[in-house]
Amino acid sequence: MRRVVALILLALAGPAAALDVPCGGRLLDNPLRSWNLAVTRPPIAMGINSTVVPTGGGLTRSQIEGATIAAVQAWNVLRTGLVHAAVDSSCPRGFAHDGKPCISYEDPAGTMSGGVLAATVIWADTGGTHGCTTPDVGAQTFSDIDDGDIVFADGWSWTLPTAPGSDICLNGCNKSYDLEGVATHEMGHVLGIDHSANEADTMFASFSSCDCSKSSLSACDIQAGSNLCYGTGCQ
Amino acid sequence: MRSSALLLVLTAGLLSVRSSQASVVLKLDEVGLTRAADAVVVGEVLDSRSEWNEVHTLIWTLTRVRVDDVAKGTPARGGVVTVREVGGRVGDVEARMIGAPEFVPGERVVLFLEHAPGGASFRTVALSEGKLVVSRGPDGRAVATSAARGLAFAGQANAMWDAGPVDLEVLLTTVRGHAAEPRP
Repeated sequence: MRRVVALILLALAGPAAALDVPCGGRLLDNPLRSWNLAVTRPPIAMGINSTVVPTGGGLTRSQIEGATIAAVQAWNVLRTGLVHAAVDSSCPRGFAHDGKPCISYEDPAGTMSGGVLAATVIWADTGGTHGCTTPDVGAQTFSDIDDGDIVFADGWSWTLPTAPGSDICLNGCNKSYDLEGVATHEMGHVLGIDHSANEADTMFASFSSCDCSKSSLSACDIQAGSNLCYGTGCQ
Repeated sequence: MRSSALLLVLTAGLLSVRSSQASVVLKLDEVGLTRAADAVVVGEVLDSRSEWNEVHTLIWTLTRVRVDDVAKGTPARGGVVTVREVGGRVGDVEARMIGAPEFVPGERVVLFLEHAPGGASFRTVALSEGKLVVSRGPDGRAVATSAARGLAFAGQANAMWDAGPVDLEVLLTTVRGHAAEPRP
């Protein structure tokens, strides 16, 4: 009898809901997802295929590569050596469940519709799970992410901060979007973080043109990420 | 490792794989969405089916929508359009795209559509930003409500539905007006 009641309660509960964490952040929901570092040994290697780069905004290939690497590796604040990014022209462009996390530009397969600036696809193996006692929301179980790709759409104008950590965009910014800020935001999704309710956070669900403040992770971005089982105290 | 993991999923059927996508899209109003769309239709969702793409790297979901009214473009009233979006489930493998529209058979929708590559089907403009759901307002009139979700917005355009449900006839009249304007 006790067993039947328990099953009914589970059925009523349904899939895991979005999990809000303190500071306005939340974790990717239904189910919760993060990389299982016992399966994918860190660093999670992101390949950057820069054989085609955006021309809008006049950034150089070197600037785009450097900014993308910085955006990925900003998340090492969650754990030393968690992620690593490097230019890799053999990393397939576009979205593919091929086990090679890649970042590419100009939407090679035309996957994205009009109006989209950038998108991320992550694949999570719901048959594989891991868990930890998170600092803010207690014991949680996560599906194993085993791949993730970020693609920048074509046709947009991009800018960058004037220097690492600066909130100021490069001179001449005109209706351009911060490529490093968008890449940092998308990399947060690759790691399993959903949007934040705080406007100042990188993971906030809005970007303004010529706003170059989003490549610097806020305390709340980091606090959200600290609940994803990447910290040494979690794994 | 990845190939063997996928093989295990496909052959043993013991595991299921999901994907999600979170996207940054331009905030569009009714003018921007209308200009970006090849077609704007009101219709009823008939059914959906999911399949792998030709190279077996992504899952698409194809949704058939019966067209009841057309505010822009050439779909035939009474005909059926097919909307193709990334995401769905085939066997034990599931791809879920956060930010993409999801459809429920029987729901009435307003869709801002663009031709998908290949031309045989459409996709919504700017993912779920291009979908509104039609329901009855307190006075019994049809109203349309934005179905945008899971998106990060770039820019700050204000759409007529941002403050809440908008009268369907007012929306369609507005869209027809913008559709008739010459492109800037």
